[in-house]
Amino acid sequence: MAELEQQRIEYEAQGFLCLEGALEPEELAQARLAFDRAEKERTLDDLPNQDSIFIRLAEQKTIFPIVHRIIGDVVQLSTLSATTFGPDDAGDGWCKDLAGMLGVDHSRSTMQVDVVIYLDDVSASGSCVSAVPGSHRFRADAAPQEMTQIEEMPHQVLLRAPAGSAIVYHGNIWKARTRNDSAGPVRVLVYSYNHCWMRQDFPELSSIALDSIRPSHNLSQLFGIGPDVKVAAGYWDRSIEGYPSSTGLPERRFSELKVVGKAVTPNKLRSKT
Amino acid sequence: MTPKQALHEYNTQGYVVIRGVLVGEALARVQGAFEKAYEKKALRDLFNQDDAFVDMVDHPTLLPIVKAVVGDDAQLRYGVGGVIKPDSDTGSGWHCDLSGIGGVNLPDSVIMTKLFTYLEAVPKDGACLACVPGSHRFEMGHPLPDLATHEDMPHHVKMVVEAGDSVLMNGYTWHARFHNQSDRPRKVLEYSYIHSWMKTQYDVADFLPHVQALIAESHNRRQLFGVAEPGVAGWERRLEG
Repeated sequence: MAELEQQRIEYEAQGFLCLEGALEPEELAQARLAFDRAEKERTLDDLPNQDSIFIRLAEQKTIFPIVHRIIGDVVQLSTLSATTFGPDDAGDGWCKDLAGMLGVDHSRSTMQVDVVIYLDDVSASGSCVSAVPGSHRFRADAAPQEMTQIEEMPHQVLLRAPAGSAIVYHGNIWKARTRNDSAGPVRVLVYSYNHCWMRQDFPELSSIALDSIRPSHNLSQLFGIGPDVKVAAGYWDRSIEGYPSSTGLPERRFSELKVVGKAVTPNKLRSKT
Repeated sequence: MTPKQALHEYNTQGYVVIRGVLVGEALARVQGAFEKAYEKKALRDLFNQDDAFVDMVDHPTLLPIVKAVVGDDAQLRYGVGGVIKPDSDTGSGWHCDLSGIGGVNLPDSVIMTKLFTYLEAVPKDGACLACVPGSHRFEMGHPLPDLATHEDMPHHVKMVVEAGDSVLMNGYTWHARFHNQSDRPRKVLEYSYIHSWMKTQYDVADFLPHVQALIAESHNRRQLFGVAEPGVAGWERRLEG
């Protein structure tokens, strides 16, 4: 619990966490094997239906408690993707994932948390995630200055880590990915989490995938299976089980009284009769 | 009222009253459809009842205001009808619709907006919607005062409206529906607008085929009813016009 509190402080201040060795060796081996098979079969865009390891990693025991603490009890999986960055891959320039999401003061909200799982060792020059600490709290009108090279961004932190590590970051953070100047490819999994009242984007789940998900309350919530969205229970009111309850970060206060003033004053019509 | 004027009013007060949205034949058409749906006890299944209710989703006066307030990514969450009988103590009490939502800094965000369109006049002693102006900017956790009656809420404003008027209200605004102490029923359409990156409560496949066709005929309706557009993520959708 103390470690989780330390991670909370770190995350709120920086907007990201680097969880070295998050995956157990066996999990890493299974994920690599399943990844390579899916890549060979060109089904990396269909991960939940390819191997149950990709489903189980949604509630991975080191990563998920942190994600749950950040998003709250209403957490769900938004998307699940996988990519291999080959040698000489050009990387991705500086951006904010949530720049196009309208209606929200992102600087003081938490709409999405992304988890990048490295399946290979990632060096500073090997498709490494880089982030600007604290930029998740920048207002929407604060835009990065013009630059031509990813390396030119001031104050950036390169999140290099060994295979099996996970990078957790706020969807509003300024981030980039460096060129891959390493000798080999870099394989990554990306799990994006949001709130259960937000849209999800998965391929249609196969019966095999559903059989892996349905026995678990938490996996059912994460993959959006269960109560009908036509009723509040399927829309606003879902809740993860088995973890200390969380309303998410930053912590919010809500009015203790939810409804007031319903008492009935003498009805004029009745008093007339 | 222009969309710009409505946005200014909404941003400062947390709601905006739009007068005379439906008049004459247009009002009569919706009133007639409403009565039929009410008789069938189908006010929670509006869109399968009459095309007039589909037309209200992108009404030429209302949609530009919804677009200005919610954003180009506006989407319908649901649309229902409601009737409050005369002389009834069914007021809702003061509350905030989004009081329990996590993750969002609500005083500076617009997550959900309700649009009420009145089909009968609501007099001062009727089942008025009432709001506390500016409460949509209250810091989160600002406590609701422990009041006994609707009338006790300081600074509240009651919406006394005519048939055909609309009220657009931020879901974070403190509001209540007063008890109906009048001899008139309150008849209202309630449409809830959210963003296209949020879940809607509709699956368009559940609508009647001709309703699906009505929705499919325009880009804006497809977005408003949450019909997926291949290759376009929810948060990338934008209304046209």
